[in-house]
Amino acid sequence: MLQFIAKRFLIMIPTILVISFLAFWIIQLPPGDFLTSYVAQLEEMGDTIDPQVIENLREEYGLDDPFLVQYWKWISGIVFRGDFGYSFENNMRVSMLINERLYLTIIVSLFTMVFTYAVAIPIGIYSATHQYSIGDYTATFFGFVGMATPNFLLALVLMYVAFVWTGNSLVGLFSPEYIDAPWSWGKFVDMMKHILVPVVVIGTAGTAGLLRVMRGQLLDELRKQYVITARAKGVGERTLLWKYPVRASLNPIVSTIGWSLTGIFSGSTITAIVLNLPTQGPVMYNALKSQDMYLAGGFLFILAILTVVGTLISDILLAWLDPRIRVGKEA
Amino acid sequence: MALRVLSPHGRPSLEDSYYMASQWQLMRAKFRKHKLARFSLVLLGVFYFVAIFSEFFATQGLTSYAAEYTNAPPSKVRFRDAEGNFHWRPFVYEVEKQRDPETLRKYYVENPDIRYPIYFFTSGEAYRMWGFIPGNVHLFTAKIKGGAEDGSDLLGPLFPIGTDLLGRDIYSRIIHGARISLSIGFVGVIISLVLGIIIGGISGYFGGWIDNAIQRLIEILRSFPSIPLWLALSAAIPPNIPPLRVYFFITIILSFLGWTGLARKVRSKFIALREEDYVMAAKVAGCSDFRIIRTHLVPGFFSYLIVDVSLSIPRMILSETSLSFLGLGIRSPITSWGVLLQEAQSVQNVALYPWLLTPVFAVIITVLAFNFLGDGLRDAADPYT
Amino acid sequence: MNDDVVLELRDVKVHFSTDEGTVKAVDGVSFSMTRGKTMGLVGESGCGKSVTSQAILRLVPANGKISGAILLNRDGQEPVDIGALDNHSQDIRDIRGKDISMIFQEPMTSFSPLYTMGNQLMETILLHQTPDKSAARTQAVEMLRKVGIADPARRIDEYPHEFSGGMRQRVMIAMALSCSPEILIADEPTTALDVTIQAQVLELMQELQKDFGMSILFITHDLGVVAEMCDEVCVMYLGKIVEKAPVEEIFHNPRHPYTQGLLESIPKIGHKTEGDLKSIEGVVPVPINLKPGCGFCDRCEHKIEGLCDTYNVPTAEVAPGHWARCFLYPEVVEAHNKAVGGEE
Repeated sequence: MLQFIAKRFLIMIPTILVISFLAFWIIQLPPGDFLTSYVAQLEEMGDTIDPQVIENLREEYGLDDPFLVQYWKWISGIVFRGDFGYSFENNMRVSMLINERLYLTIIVSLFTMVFTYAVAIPIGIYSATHQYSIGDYTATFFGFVGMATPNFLLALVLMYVAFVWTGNSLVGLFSPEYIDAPWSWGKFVDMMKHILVPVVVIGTAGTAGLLRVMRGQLLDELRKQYVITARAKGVGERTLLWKYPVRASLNPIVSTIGWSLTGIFSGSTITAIVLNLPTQGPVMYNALKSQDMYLAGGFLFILAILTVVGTLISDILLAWLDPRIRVGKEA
Repeated sequence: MALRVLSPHGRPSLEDSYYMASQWQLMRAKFRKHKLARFSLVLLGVFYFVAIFSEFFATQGLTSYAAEYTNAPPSKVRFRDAEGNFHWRPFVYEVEKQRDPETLRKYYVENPDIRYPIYFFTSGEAYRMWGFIPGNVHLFTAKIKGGAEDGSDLLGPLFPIGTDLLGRDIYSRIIHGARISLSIGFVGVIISLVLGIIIGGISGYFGGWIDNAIQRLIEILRSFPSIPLWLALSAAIPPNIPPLRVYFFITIILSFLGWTGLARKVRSKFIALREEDYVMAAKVAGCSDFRIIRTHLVPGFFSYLIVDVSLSIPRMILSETSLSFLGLGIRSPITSWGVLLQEAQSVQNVALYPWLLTPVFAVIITVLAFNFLGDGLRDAADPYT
Repeated sequence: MNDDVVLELRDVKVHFSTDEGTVKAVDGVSFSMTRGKTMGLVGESGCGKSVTSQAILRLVPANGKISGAILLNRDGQEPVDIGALDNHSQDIRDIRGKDISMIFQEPMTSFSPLYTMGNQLMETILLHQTPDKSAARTQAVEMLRKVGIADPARRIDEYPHEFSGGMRQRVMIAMALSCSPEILIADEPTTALDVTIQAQVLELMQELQKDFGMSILFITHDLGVVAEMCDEVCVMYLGKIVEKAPVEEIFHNPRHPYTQGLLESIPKIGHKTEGDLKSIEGVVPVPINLKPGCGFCDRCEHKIEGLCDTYNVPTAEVAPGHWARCFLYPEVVEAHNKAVGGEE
């Protein structure tokens, strides 16, 4: 088991290296360097900027250096000093902005994940054990509609409904009085009240997909011989269901927990923009619109790393759950 | 000492046509059983047909607008006029903008004095089909023939779904948007498919370190969350380039991640098929490679790919919609469903003019239809279960 | 009920409702099993032999309907009609694994890969014998030793994927016998095994039968195995038993043309056959919307026009202890006439 984890860790290193390369490549992608466009933008607005400052920045980021040197400056800053570069749009270090937004992003993502699994798995089990019943058809129907509805549409519709009913569109993650307040029980409760809508919006597509997977997996498992073996031993139906097929069909789902993070990040980005949540989405979106590439690239890099860590965790979980992986083949 | 009772002449009895049918026949028979998938196929066929001839089906051109009818609600199509007379030909009344003196809100009232009958397959606004074939025939138009001062037809305000804040007919815009939204899914998937088959094929064929490297790369690309990555890539599209090139760029960006899933499928199928007993049996029986590929690999392979393609198209459509919705995809003047929804972004607007949300249904119905179709095809691809 | 009879099936039918119509997989099967003896159930794939065995434990798929009486005669208790029990009742669960247990064809898939062998083996013991885990474990280790697993105290904590096919089938047998059942149903237990392993497993079953004294219902399509294992044999065709006799009778004096065909299609050492091995013409029809008459008559060399393809054939005792379902024998024709006469 330890050996497995160690091996899995080693594989991660080159993966993260390539990810950082790709992220930096994307930072460099827009035509011209960001400084020129920044200066042009400022001049457009009638501002002027001290040529010395520009020269210093040019120096700091080595904008005239070759790609690899620039990359090295960027990645070594992250690895050794936790420095992700400078956001010209916000006049702040990128790391500050990331710090500010990242933990809420993670909180919303984790809640979404819990919601997804807590809803999809029981319904999937019901659907599979009551195949072709009215309940199964209903779940299947909602599953399909949920998959077909992009989350920003759901956000729009929910906002519309909320607006029509309450005159308030459900935006943000906190009530105004808590936005800048330090953490307290009151703030936490307030967040829980606000978090439901974004979690439902972000999680619906994933829940629908997972429901289909769970149902299919369980139907496959229910047809397996070992289920009949257990029944022939006199095991009761309920015990049997949970001990054998449900447990078996959870394994492939556990192995995708890490990958489900990409879907959640993806959905939360767009949902956060629509619902104006204080997560990474709106900041990154604005950064991209103004080609504030260090900021955007920094977020992209971190999200990808989080996914990689997520897949590592789900691989370890799977190994822990499935003896065929944990106990290597000997016979 | 197993006992096998085989018939030396092997002629099965009548009801065994099941065992003798070719794989394609079985697939078709199985697909036909899936009513929802069949219905979806027909529906998608209609959608694509409308999208191809959008100039004919729309009543208004892509860049046209009716300034006097901004934010108009869906037109009321009538058969009975204000005097209670029944008309076989449906018609709409002229509508006029009024302002509520208290709330200052605009609203429209019908003017029963001016009646525009609705004609079918008739001349209306001139257009150029696909940008080069001139024409003016539309599926339907409300007009008073020869009603204009110069003796030409006077077109009436027929807005089946209403208009937006510039007075553009939403029904027409959904149809124009369909051309972009529906085709981007198709083109994107074709690009992904070509990339996927080539790269997945190389991976499966060579194996070893090449396979390893490609699989790693795919894994890495998949660890980027799609929307942020697409946003980042499309932020790099230079501004002020022609719309057609934007369309082209967006398609490439969507395929940037799209191919990875297909490549994986191709590879695993490729490897699995190579090991399959019937392929081995065909080899032993002395079939040529070409024959093996044609009669054994292709059906076993393409049926799965078609399923994947039919499930990838709706994902592409949703992605394009999301990107354009955020203003980083297709840009005006060309229109996609995402662009239309971007205009519906403000809740206040939607609350006042809920018909702005109708493109939502176009998206959902299309994606649902593709999913049902994919489901039916998946069942059909496995005709022996 | 005779005390020697441990299980009796009376006119058992299993009908599946499908989109194409009712599939009569088992259509009126009757036989009884003697305590401590082995009954063979033989036939081609799809003849209903496996479904018959599943019906005894009420394990048929949900769209199957069981009718008829399945009487279980436990030592010193009133007989129970399994045919009348509910699929989910506690009564049937108490019988499964305790009074009647079952082993299956596929040792690879019969165990869940996620639990240790010990866990799955002890499950039966914990359910039916003792709630005490350590006692169950001791008993499980003992059972593993009995079926010839080396170092059972260690191997009990291993997972199914660490066992070979033959070893798994041994564990399967240990599991089935752990509660000393009265009847063991073996559904083609050696079909998926190599020939040498097959012989070992069969030998093991015979030894354990001596130890435990259970009756075995042995389902197979392999007549060689039947000759080795069984005391009595039922030959099934298309959901019906066409011939039933002690094992020597079946091999030396087969009466039904189908049984004769089966036996002739086996190559025999020392008998140089002229030309090809004999085979039975045609294939088994699908048991949907069958026409009346003998199900075998389309493939039968001795078919009597107007009789075999018109009337359903009854069974009759054609020799002491030897029953057949075929109009070639006067006893059967007599039984038919009596039945038809009785109707008039």
